[in-house]
Parts: sequence; C-alpha cells; structure tokens
Amino acid sequence: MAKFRESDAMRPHDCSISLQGVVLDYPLGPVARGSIKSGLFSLFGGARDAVRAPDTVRALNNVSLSVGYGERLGIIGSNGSGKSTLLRAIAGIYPITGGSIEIHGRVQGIFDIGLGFEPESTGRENILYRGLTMGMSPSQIASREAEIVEFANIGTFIDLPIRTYSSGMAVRLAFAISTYLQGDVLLLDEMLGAGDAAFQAKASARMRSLVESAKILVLVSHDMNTIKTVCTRAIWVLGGRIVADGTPDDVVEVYLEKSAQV
Amino acid sequence: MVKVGVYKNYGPTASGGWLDAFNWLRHRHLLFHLVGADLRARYRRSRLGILWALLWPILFASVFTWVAINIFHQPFTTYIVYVLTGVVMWDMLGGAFNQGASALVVGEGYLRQARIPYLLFPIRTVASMAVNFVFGSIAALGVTLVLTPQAFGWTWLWWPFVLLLTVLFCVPCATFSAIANLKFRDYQHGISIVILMLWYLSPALVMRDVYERPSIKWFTDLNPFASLLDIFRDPLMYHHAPSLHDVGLVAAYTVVMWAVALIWLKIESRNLIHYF
Repeated sequence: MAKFRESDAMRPHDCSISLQGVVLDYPLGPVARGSIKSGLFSLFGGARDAVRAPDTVRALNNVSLSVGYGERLGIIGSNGSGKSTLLRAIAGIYPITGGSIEIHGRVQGIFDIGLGFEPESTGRENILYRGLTMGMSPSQIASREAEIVEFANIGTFIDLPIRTYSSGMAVRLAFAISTYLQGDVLLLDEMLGAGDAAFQAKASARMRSLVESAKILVLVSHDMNTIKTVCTRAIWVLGGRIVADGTPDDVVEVYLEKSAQV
Repeated sequence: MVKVGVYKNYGPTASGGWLDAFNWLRHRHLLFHLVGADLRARYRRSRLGILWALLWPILFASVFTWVAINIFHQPFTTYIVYVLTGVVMWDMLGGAFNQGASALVVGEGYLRQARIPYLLFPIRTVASMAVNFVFGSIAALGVTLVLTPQAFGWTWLWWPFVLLLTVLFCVPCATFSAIANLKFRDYQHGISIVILMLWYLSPALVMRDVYERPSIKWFTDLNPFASLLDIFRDPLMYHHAPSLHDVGLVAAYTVVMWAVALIWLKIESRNLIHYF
C-alpha cells in the first residue's frame, strides 16, 4: 500500500479520484423501524395487512468515474437523484455496498457548515478541532489560525464559547475554517451562502479563490450558472446512475432539455 | 449477508481495509483535545473547576459515612475510605455504560463531516472519565494517608495497573453501549436500570462481607464490577496485591467485551451513519 507523509509534495498523478462500479444501498431500517408500541400491536394482528417495507433503497447504482488532477467536476440532477450521496461516498462517510473507491490526496468535504462545533469551546479551540478532524497537525492549523480569525472578523468573540455567538457569527467562523483549512480534494455540497450582504461578497471571492486553488473540486449544485462558470466537467446523476458526462455546457443543456420534457 | 465495497484513501489520513482498526491512533491529537474540551465543558464557570473531581468523592463519602456511622454503626476511618474507593471506581464502571451510551450521539457532528473511526468516540468518553478517576484516586490516597497511614506501602504501586485494567475494561463496554444506544433508542432507559441493579449487587458502598453470603456469593464471584472494586481496594486499603481470581476474571471479561464490541462495530459500521 502506498504511503504518504503530510510533508510529501503532492505530484499531479498523486491526486485523483477513481470509482469503479460503486453501489450504495441506503438502509431504510433505522427510518422504517416501528416503535415498540407498533411492534406489540402487530403481535395481536394490528399490522397483519401492512405491506412489508423494503430494507434498503439503491442510492448509487454501478457508478464508475475518474477525476484527475486539476479537474473541477460539477454534479447535477434532481432532488433525490443521488448527488449528495455520491459526494459523501467519495468522502468515505457513507460506506459503499459494492465496487471500489480509491482516493489519492487529503479530502475536505464541506457538507453542512454548522455541523461539528463544540458549543462550550471557544472559536479558537473549534478552529483546532475542525482542522484535526481533517487530519491536519496542530502546527499546520496554527499556521492558518490568524488568517481564519481575520477572515471571520468576529473580533473578541473568537476567544468566547461558540454558544455565545449569533447564528451569523457561527456561520462566518465555520465558513472561514472550512475554506482556509484546505485539502487536496475539495467536495462541496451546494455553494455556501454565509452571513450578511457584506460578508457574502467577501465569501464569494474566497470561494472563487478556493475553487481555483483546489487540486480537485467536486461540486454539487442546482445552480446551472455556477456549474458552467466554475466547473471544467459535469455529470448528470439520475436514479443513482451517471446518465451524462461531458463539458458543463453540454451536460447542463441535456439535463435542462430532458427535465423540461418530464 | 453484508455486502461490502472497498474504500481506500492514500492521502495523509489514509484509511480503508485493516487500517480502519488502527485509524483512531491517527486522530490522537483530536482525541486529546476533545477530552480537554469535555473536561472544560464539565467544569466551565465553576469556581473550583476540576478540583471538584477531587472534592466531590470526598464530600459524598463523608455524607454517606456519617449516615452509616449513625445508622449502621460502621467504624469511621475504614468505612470512609471504603465508600470513597467505591464511588470513584463506580463512576468509571457505571459511566462506561451510562455515559458511553451517548458517545457516538455526541460525535455526530464529526462523523457526518469526515471519515473518522467510530472507536475514537467511546475512547474519548472513557478517557474523560479516566481523568476524573485519577483525581478521585488522588483523593482516596490522600484520605487513606490521613486516616489510616498504616495502609501505606509498596502495594500502592499497583495503582497504574488498576487504572490500565479499568480503562481496558471500560472502552469496549462504552463502545458496546454506544452502538446499542444508536441502534435501539430504548437502550439508554433500560441500561440505566440494569446499572442501578448492578450498583446494589456490587460492593460499592455496602460492606464486602454482605456479598459473601451464600445466596449472593456465586454472583459476586462472577461479577467483574465486584472484582474491579476489589482490585482497587486490595492494594490501597488492605496492603496486599490484587487476587489472581479478580485479575483473571476481569481480564477474561475484557477480552470477551473487546471481541463483542469490535465485531459488532465491524458489522454495524456500514449502517451506523444512517442511525443518527
């Protein structure tokens, strides 16, 4: 097995995503499981006529995909088509049930910006925790801390517990952390809208520079203009399968055309 | 049949295959800081802070002992140390199941953001409790030195072994509890009753000879909680090394619990993310 040290320089061929025949069955058990009360009722025939719900739903079906160094891949598709599931499978958060995924490079996923804060810890401490979650060393995080604090622009609140923040301040800090502690492979679920109007402009500029500096970007979005302007390649996911793969202009055109017919 | 795909990451936080079993070590910095965060959260805005970990068992034992002296006519000096050691050890053992049940639930924010080994979170819970155990032990050693200085001796050197054995026993218990709680939301209510029952069936506060009665002795001999309480007290209070029976019993339960916890974690790891 190839071994990497964090100090190793990343060569172009070292940064890639490869999916071969990936299948992901999303278990419905945790959602569909009834309560103890309904279980007891069913013992006495209360649920005799009920149709047994399926145990799983196939969220990804035989997905094969290769993304190389420098590519910016956009994923489009209707709600529930499997876009976000594909992104989380690439991040290794959702275990796959078939096929293989091979990633070269440090993965950074930005899925839910507010998730993962320790409310009793200060903003500065949370910068550390978020970086450590990504597998960065404390010294690497310390070298970016000043930039994050400056960008978040929340003043002395940075040394107060997160629970004292307004929701806008928490989002600004989360955005700053997520975009300054950058990985090689950047996975984004929708473009992020953070904070007030002034911060939005700053955030947009930061997102553009982040996208440009990522070695690989995979972006899920419903905004076709974003896909066209940011990405160099796009795929259309439908029913857990890739049904179109090509330039953003071509894929978006096919997607909009087919969607209009439905 | 469980269907399995292959996920390999050759980046700096490599994972996949057998690496997953040891991956929590790669997140040791995160573990260290989360334990610190837990302790700060527990004692934040408290004037005495972590000193409470030292004072609380002493105050609890004092109150309980005062009641016991007046009602049951127990000798003060030995009984307060007995209660103190019982409380400190029980915080670990009961906590492994009660607090361990929430270990994965409180880690949701991390587990939904990045590929982090699930085992890290029960270890975090037990490590936080172990810090309290260290402070509680210091309190117990201090009170023993003051009240029964004759108990001091070379057997106190067993203490690091007691800590290690307790932590090794508690981590798989917390892991088991965390998976069970995520999978069956009724678990936490049920386990608190079971632990309360074990509290009465283990020599935490009530004197040890009660548990030697024929009606309960068979259970005491098989109860790992009773053995761990004995292992803690024998070197500290009675100036002799832990018995082979107690160490062997706890070691056997530890091996079984690790096997059960790791196998269940392996089976459920493909579904756990969907249980949140």
